[in-house]
Amino acid sequence: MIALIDNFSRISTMLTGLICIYTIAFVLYSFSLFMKNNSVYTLGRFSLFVGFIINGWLIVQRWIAAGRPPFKTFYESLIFASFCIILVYLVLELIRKVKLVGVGSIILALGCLLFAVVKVDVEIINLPPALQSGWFIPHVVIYFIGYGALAVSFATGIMYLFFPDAIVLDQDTRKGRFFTNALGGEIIDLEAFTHQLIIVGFTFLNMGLLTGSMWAKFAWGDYWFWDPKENWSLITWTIYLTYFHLRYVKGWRGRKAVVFSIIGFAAIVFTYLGMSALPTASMSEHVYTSQ
Amino acid sequence: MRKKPLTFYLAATGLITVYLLILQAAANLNKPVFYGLVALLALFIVFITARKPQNVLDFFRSMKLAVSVLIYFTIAVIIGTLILQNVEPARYLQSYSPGFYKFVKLLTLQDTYHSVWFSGLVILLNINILICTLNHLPIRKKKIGFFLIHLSIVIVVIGGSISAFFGMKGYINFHEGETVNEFQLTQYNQMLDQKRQMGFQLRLDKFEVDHYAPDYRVYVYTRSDSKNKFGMPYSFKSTENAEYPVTNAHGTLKILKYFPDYAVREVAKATDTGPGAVKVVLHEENHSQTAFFFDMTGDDRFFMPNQKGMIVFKWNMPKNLAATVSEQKLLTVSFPDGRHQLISVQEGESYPFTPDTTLRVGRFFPSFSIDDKTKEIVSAGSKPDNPALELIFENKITKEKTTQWVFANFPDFTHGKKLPGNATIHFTFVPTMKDKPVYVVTANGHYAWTKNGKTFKKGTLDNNRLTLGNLTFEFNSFIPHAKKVKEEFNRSEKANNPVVRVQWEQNGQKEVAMLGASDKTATFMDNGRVALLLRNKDDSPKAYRSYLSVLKDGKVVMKKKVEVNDPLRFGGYYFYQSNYDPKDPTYSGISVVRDPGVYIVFLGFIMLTIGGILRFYFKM
Repeated sequence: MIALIDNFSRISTMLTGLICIYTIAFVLYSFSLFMKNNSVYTLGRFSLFVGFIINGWLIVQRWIAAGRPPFKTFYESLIFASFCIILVYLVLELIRKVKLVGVGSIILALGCLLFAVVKVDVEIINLPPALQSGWFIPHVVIYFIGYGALAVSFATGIMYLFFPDAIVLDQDTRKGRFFTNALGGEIIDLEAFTHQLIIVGFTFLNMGLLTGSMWAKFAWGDYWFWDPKENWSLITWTIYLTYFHLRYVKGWRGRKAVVFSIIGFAAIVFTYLGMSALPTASMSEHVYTSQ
Repeated sequence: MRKKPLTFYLAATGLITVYLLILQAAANLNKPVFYGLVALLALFIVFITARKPQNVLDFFRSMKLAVSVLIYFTIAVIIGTLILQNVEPARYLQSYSPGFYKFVKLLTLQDTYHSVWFSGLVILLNINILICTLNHLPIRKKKIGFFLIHLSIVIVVIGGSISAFFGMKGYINFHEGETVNEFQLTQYNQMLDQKRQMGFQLRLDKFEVDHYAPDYRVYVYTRSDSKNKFGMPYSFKSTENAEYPVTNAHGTLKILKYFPDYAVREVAKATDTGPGAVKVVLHEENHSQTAFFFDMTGDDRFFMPNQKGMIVFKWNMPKNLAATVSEQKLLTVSFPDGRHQLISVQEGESYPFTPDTTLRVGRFFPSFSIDDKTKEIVSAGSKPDNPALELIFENKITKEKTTQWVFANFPDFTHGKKLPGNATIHFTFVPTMKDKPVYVVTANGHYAWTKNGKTFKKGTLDNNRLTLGNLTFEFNSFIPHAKKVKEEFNRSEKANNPVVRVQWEQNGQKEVAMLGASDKTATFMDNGRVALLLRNKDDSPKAYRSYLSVLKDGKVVMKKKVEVNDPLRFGGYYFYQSNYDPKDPTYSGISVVRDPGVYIVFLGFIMLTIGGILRFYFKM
């Protein structure tokens, strides 16, 4: 917390601005949940989109300044993670105006950015030879889009846990009217929604696995190293795999299955942020440089 | 068979896992017991399959079994990330108690992913997948995704097994110009005591390391209290006159001066009194160097390269040239009461020292040294690189003698002895040249040269230059009165010894500090709340590459530049650029891999990706 406050003086105005705009978007989206009138929501969408553009510009700016893809340090990757989460949500919003999911996604993106402030690393670190590869960009981008989708699925999953009955509420009750508004004017099945997001995320995880194994083969001579980060991405993958199979077991749809999607996202967070806590971290090729 | 609940499968998989762990322990402790237990398991499977084939089939094709095995498999993978894998025994004993380490070894937890029990779980999962997949036959268009996904796992495991059984890994330690026909086998990055012939030869023609351009930065660490830990540093480019606010510390750092190759030299600076001085530039064939001469004993002369002669600078041409250029041994004697005395001494002569003692000058060695074998004092040569003089003090009354060596290069070397009258003595040796010309140059541009006490020729400098063979001495900037001062300068533009002078300003107070890249400790400001360091941003290499040639029967059949991410492929082997040695620029570490299953594994991963897309998005 102290680091967070301390470091605010060290980050670029653009990043401070981005945090402010996402916060404004968060407030507007939250208010729009309770308002039938669309003007607040439109304003929220507008600010979220402006934030998304700034988020992208921050990545481009860093890319130009560093002369390499900005996915090397925690700081850089967290800004990219927030970009991916918002990207997934904006695509989702094209299909259905699920404001409630928007609120959750913005919270996650803001969490990433605030953590980036804690891990602030204005220093541009050169890429070691192994990362100077054509596989670097697709591998990282694919995984982060996957993670973005699974992060949003986590948000919808949590919502489903709190309001599993929303889907059967009708328009006549207060609760029913709230959800109808919050979920874009139509009653939707949050569980099915979560499931669809997990499918998208899982597909990207598969592609990330494929690109990663090929890259590792060319860089180090082995497609799989049993490196702690690889193992934890395998753990994440098997958790979602278990989830997919559990849904076919009688009595495992609904709440119980969604819990697995939450465990899966927890594994992603650990894979992403928790590696340095592992006793085997020193053996990993994937640990982020934090300085 | 009645449909069993998920808990049944979880319990059954748990039992199987326990049995696999027992198998593992047996494999580690006693092989016959292990084989016995494997046979027992096989018998059990055969027995139960013969009695209730439908039940066994139901068990193995169950989706619930898949879920159970996946859960146990996940736990196993987690365990492998919590326990150190394949490190040296010493490292385990550092982190674990001996009892726990024994337990780890008993269940092969130190190599989880290659253990019997882990493999057992993988095999169980694959049997499950295969039976389950076969159960869905025949393949219909609708089910292509399903088959691709499930078979992809089996294919990956088959490919991985082929690699594990028929593949190998190794290492070549190379130096430029070396040719090898074998490599050292390795396992989990540890060298094995086994070599493998390749059937062809590999030659390292050249090795290169590219570095990033040096970027020395001032790192500023701040903390709110000198007891706290420092936070992440600010880093500032060493750009002269740049000012950087350090908001956390409410201070400002200013870069005053940056030297990539810092050095200090002595120069002459004009004063009101003092000896005359001159700046001399010596031009050799392709380089030049600068020095300052002072018209005072010891600082007025230097030897030409290769002992060709000597140059002496005097403000005015001395009358007695031979005396001026003669060799001198000077003793500066200081007594505690402040008395000073400069005496010119000669070997074998005696001089009064204190009322009670006389000083006799003993032997002189231009290059003092102690013979390794005889332990006697000798002169290592005639070149005056370590001039030493033997002083013998004799008490007039007691006739007691004490001997003391004084060294021109080590003025403080006293051997702990006290001299009579608590005096201190500094020895100055002013060398000369015998049998070689000595040139005396004066401020008005005249010169003369002498040899063994005879003056040969007088003349004037040509455009302030004196040329002797391929050496040219350029005398310029004559200063009538000068003193020696130290001056900082850059020896070159290369970052050989980076030093920066910075100013730290805080609360209106300014403090100047010199930071060197080779400093072992930081420079502290603000009562230890701010620490400054000069460091290169990145010493790691940008790229390193080996130029390799493949030879067969003495003929080069292939040449390739091997870099990280760009291996050489030949004869079923892959050669990877793996290592370099910052201390040995000709060394290259190449890792060798033979991996016959790799394309099967890739096929599996591709099937998985495509299968997933088909299964989820094209439910035809």
